[in-house]
Amino acid sequence: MGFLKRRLPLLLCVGTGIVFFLQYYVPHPLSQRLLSEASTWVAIVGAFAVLLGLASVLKTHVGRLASVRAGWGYSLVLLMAMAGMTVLGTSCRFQDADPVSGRVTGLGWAYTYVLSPLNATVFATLGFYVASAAVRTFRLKSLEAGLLMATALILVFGRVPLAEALWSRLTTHYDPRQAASIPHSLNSVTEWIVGVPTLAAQRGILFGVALGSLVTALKVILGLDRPYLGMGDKGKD
Amino acid sequence: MGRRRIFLLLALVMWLPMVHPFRFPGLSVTSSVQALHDRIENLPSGANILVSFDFNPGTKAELEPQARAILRHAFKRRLTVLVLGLWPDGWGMTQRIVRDCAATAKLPVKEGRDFILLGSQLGDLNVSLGLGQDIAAVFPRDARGIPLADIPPLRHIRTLKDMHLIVSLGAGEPGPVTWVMFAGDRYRIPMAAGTTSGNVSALQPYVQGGQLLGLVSGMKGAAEYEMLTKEDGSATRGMDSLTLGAFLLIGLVLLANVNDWRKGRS
Repeated sequence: MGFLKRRLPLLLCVGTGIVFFLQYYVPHPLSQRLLSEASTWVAIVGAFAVLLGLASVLKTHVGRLASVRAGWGYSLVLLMAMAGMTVLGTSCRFQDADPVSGRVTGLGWAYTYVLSPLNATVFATLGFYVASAAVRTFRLKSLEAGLLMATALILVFGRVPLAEALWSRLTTHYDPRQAASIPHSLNSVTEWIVGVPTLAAQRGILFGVALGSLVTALKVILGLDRPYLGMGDKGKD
Repeated sequence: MGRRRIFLLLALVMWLPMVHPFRFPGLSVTSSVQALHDRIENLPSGANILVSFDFNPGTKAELEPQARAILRHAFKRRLTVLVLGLWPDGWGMTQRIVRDCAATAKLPVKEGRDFILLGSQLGDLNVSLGLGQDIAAVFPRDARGIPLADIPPLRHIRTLKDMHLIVSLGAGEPGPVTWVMFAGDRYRIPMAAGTTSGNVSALQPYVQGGQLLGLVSGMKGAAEYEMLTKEDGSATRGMDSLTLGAFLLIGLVLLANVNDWRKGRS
């Protein structure tokens, strides 16, 4: 049992990890076929993960509905929507429109007139919350807060054409002898903010994430970290 | 000022230009939008480009105008456009956008000849890596159910390596970063991206590193693209609402700070 439960998964993980690490650098057709085959396997495993997720959602919400816990109404809406979309989807073989006549199916209708507007509405309301949060938080309480506010305001201004026109007017009316040293386009200022200080911070984050991912991947490939054995800390020797 | 008043004011100033367009002046083109436009403009007629719609209706307000501007330009340049999506919940929207662009194009554009709707697949690296091996293995049929082997342009387009440009429009994962890592870098295919205003800084390192030759950001980027192609699209019209919204936001922030300062003095 020890072999099946511990050593076999470990051998599979280490072997697969090393093979696909090397595969990336080998352009031989056999190596490419191996990748193609593995991609199909990934899709199949992914489909099982979707099933697992579906079972988890059903268990949580059916449980809440059955025990009439707080928020049971939302669970009911979720379960009804899930069942409705599943019935609509399977009845028209998951096609938005009939391939021959072009007629919109029930799924296509639900997608266009229910899912799509709901999705867009949720994202659109964020704009209102962000505006309200900005008014409440951008206050000149310290130098750092002032810098943050000034940068944010320049970036917001830099995204709109009228501000660009006003900036141009302001800088061209300035002393022409000094005009060369003044950025004539607000775009150039916003591009500088996004392209220099923001980019520097972003690169730092990216490097950190990349190094962290590399270390984690190496630990899993070499069998030092074994989260797939499902034993929590016991998975680590 | 209360949150509800801010919401109401914002809704009012953003709605006003929709009924009465102002056409504010001052839009200028950023270098990364210009670079993508120039690349498409200089591709020979009949060149192949892949446009990946990696978003769902949640971000369509910013990404749909970009998609329309790029597609209209590609159709005008007589390029062969392959379209797919990595977000299955955005595929219905993608088909509508592409077919609508084709129907309203100035030149006759035909599905299966000028553009091919490949389909949508859940997944990231397995899709882009699979397309690098064999497009027909990942998408055996197009959106109309026709086998790829029966679609004339796809007799010459076998893998991603036959593409002259890949454009990924998205603001999350899988999206532009996936394409950069598993297609652009791996197969040395020129890549460009379109994203939301809030996601620009995440893609900026790839622009500066040369992995993305161009980047269209938000509705403003789409309006810049429309300006370059001399099209009067939804982004150009939307800039009025965006302008007034930005001015209101800045005005409210300044007002709140003046109010704080007055309270502090008294």
